[in-house]
Amino acid sequence: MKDPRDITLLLHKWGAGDRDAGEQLFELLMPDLRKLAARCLRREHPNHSVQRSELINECFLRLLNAKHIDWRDRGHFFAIVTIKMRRFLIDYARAKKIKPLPLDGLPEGLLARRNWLEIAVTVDTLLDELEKESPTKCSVVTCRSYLGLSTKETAETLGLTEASVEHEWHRARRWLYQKLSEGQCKTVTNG
Amino acid sequence: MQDRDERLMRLAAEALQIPAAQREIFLRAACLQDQDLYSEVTEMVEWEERMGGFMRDPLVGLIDLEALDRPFKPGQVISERFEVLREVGHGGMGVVYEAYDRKREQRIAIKCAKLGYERLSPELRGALKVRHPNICLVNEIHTASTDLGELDFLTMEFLDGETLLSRLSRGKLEFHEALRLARNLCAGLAEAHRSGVLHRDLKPANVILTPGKAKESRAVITDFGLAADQEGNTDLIGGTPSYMAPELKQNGQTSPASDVYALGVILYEMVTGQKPFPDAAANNGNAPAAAPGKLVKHLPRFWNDAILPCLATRPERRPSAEQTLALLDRKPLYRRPWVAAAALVFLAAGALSGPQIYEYLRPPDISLAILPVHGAGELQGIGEGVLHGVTERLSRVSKGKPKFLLIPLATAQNKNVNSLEQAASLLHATHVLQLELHRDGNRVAVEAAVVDLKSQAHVRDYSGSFSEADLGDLPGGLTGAITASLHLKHKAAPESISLDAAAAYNAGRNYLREGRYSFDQAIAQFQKAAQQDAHSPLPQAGLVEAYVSKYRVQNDSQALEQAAVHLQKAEILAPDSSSVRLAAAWLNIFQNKNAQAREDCSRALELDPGNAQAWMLCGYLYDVEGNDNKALEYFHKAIALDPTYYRPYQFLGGYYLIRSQFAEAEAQYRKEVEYALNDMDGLSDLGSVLTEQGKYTEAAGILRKALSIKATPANLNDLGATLAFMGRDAEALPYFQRAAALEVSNYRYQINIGDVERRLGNRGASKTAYRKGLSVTSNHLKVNANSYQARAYMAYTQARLGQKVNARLEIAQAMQSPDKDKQILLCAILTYEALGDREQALKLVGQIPAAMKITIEHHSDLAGLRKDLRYDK
Repeated sequence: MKDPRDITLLLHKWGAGDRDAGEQLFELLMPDLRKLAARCLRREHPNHSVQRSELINECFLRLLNAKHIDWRDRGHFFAIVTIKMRRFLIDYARAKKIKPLPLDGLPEGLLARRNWLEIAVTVDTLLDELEKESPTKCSVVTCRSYLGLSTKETAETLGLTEASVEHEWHRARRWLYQKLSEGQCKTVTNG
Repeated sequence: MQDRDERLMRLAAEALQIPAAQREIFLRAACLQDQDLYSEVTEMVEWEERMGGFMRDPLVGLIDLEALDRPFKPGQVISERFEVLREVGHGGMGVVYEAYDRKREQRIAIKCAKLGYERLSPELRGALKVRHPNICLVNEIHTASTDLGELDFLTMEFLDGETLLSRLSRGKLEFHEALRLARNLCAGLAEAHRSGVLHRDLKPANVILTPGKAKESRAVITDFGLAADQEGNTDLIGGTPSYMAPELKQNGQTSPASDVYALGVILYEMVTGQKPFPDAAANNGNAPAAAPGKLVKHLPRFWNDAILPCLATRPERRPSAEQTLALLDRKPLYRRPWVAAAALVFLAAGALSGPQIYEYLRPPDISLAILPVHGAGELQGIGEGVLHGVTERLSRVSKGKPKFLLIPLATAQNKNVNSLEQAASLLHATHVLQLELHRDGNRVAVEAAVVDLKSQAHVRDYSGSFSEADLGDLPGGLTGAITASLHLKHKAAPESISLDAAAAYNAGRNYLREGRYSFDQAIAQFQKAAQQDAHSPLPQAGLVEAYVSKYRVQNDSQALEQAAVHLQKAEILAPDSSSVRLAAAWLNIFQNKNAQAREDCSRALELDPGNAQAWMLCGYLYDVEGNDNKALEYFHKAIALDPTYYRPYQFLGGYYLIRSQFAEAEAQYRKEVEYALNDMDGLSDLGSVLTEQGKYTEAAGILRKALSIKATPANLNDLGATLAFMGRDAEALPYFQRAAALEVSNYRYQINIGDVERRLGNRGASKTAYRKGLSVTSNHLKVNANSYQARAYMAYTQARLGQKVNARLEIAQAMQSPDKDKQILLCAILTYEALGDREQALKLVGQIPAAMKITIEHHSDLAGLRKDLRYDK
């Protein structure tokens, strides 16, 4: 059993901007997060009353085994969970060689020059960048575009209003789209 | 800010719904003076238009979740040791594969956790040390690295059989089976708990019924400890609510008591066919479960006592698995006080003339009490009349062993005896007869049972529906049910049939004597006889036998169902007549219920010791059981009793054929051919035994004759094979092709075509046939995973198709067959030859039995092998 105090401490550090603490948390939480991610993916109980967001909640409580953790830690925790899930999904897509993201709206020129996986990996790197700029946007994208949580579920998970989720999601997608298109220009000029 | 977000998003969503041309007007109206809002929404809408579906549909939707749950693929070799053969099960949290362990050289099962459960509970290691016949043996825990990281998996013994879940889907279990399996489950669980191992997810899907001794299945609990998380809590969503103890749902700890709760639910399902609590509610502690005895008529009481305490809401009130086992094992304690008294008298009188007095005083082996009728109104009177008839018939039961005492209805009525318990305590009965009558339209539905008070088991159930006019058949039928189930000696009432019906019945019997192919004529005659005399069991028994023949010839399962229907009719009329018992034996043999068939045959012999068929079938069952001497004795006795009946010769011939005593088999088959007039099986039997001995020319002649009677796929194939042995491949080919066209599902025919085409130099046609053969074989193996022969053929085909690795793997598996039959050995030799592995082929030639030499000597594909200098050694 992990010591919940370690986790709390790491969460604090991570919340205060210590990126290494985030990595340590990944290491520490990895087995559980992987399990959680897999279970979120698997919809083997379609009529099951447990929503994915509740699952995350439950996982959180169980992992930390302490209900006195305050809300900010919770927020940090969710952010970590969602990032971890994103990684998991990308790893999976890479391993299974499946089309890793819905990139339909991207300009033709970009799609012609780079394969799906390359784009997906670029998106992943961009999201890391986005996470530093705006952790909330990054979490929203992960919940909506990777995990398939609904607006409502995302709002509940991240403690936002539904409208904010929509707004943040739009902005995050736009940011990614612009970054990718810039990248395309670069490729074009370099080429 | 929040309001503004909401407005912004709402407007953007609405704008996207309307045509682009009208958006500006709409948005300007909506935003009024708020220029910032207007530009922000407009920009947002433009961007949405441009981005389209970008990052909209979640990645999760693109993932093949099925594949996610299946970490290994057939054909894959894990850790350079385990060869994954096929997936055999897929459940809540794990996948089970059949695999071959190269190191141990045996077939094993691999169970790996699904993704998300990669790490098996360390506690699981506890399960490694538990060794018990009712617990699945876990060999080891291994770790493999996969695409998605490390993954733990278990290797364990490979268990054949179905899960209890699939068994229960066909309804509740029969009493004896339920009791045996319940004891198994309790014993396994008790042993695990003694070793400190909890199951945590006991449910019917985790119980495998594996065939054990004498065809009786044994329950084996699998997946010990697999459900546990590292923290020991229950699964987040993977749990199985119906089997979850109430305390687990309240975040309680798993304990032996929570396993016992699941055990209780399972036992409940086994005896009643339903769950104790409706699905969603499960046990919420409010309403206790209905006693199983209330749901199932005549259910012995001890089931209530064993099951209900397991379902207690509070864990501390539940018994241990061990205690439940003790309850199920306990011998009922019905004392018969006068047994002791009689022994005292015997001691006192012993000095005088022991044996006679003893016999006189000896308590009866069986005392059957007739209990009052259950039935409303006039049915009561009808029932009593029937019981009177039964009493009168039973009074004619012969004296001797077993000593039988009938306690008549009047006694039970005088003492107010109404229940099984009272019958034991007040009447000192060992058995009772219960009779219940209901109105069913203008018919009377009858349900009766002979119950053994010791075990409370139903020794025999008897049920049927009678018109008023037919009720006269009931006393005889019931009496037969009693004498048959209690093995009472009685002068068998002659099996009579009215004079009118006798002609048709005899005609039917004669058709059956001619051979199996006259079944249609026999059926028509028996049906006629049944119409002429609806009260005689004989035409019904004849129909059973005729339909069994039809099934045997046409492999038509509907015929078997018809046979069962007629058996039921016969059993209502006269369950204890030799013809009916024999009919039951035939049907049971074809339904693979040999133990039942043996009982039927023995009873038929008891009733009619001069019956050749009864001797023959008993002999066959001895043959199956491996009692060679008895089998031979019984076959010869049958032949002596009825020397012109073809069947005993056929059975005896089969006996010799299996033992590769071809000359003896040939002699019997010649007799079979002589007496079976309208049957080509004798000819095919004879033809194939001639082929085995290398007498190809005569064999071909005989087989052609068989074909002229009826072209069955087997016949066509046999003739093809004989011709192929003679080196006449071109002639053989059309026969194989006809066989394959008639029976698409037989892989051998395709493989034979492949062989012949190959030798004729038609490479393409040969490959096509092999490929078809391979696909049929693997389909066959999906259904019969244990067919070593099919596996051997598969290997051979793979070898011919150049799938060398698979071929080696499959042939090694086929050679694990406990009784390496000829076909497997031959296939193996051919496979190694096809693989170019002369060494191995020669090694196997060294192992062949003498009787196989001829086949090896003549097989066209073994010419090279025979020329090998090492061959003669």
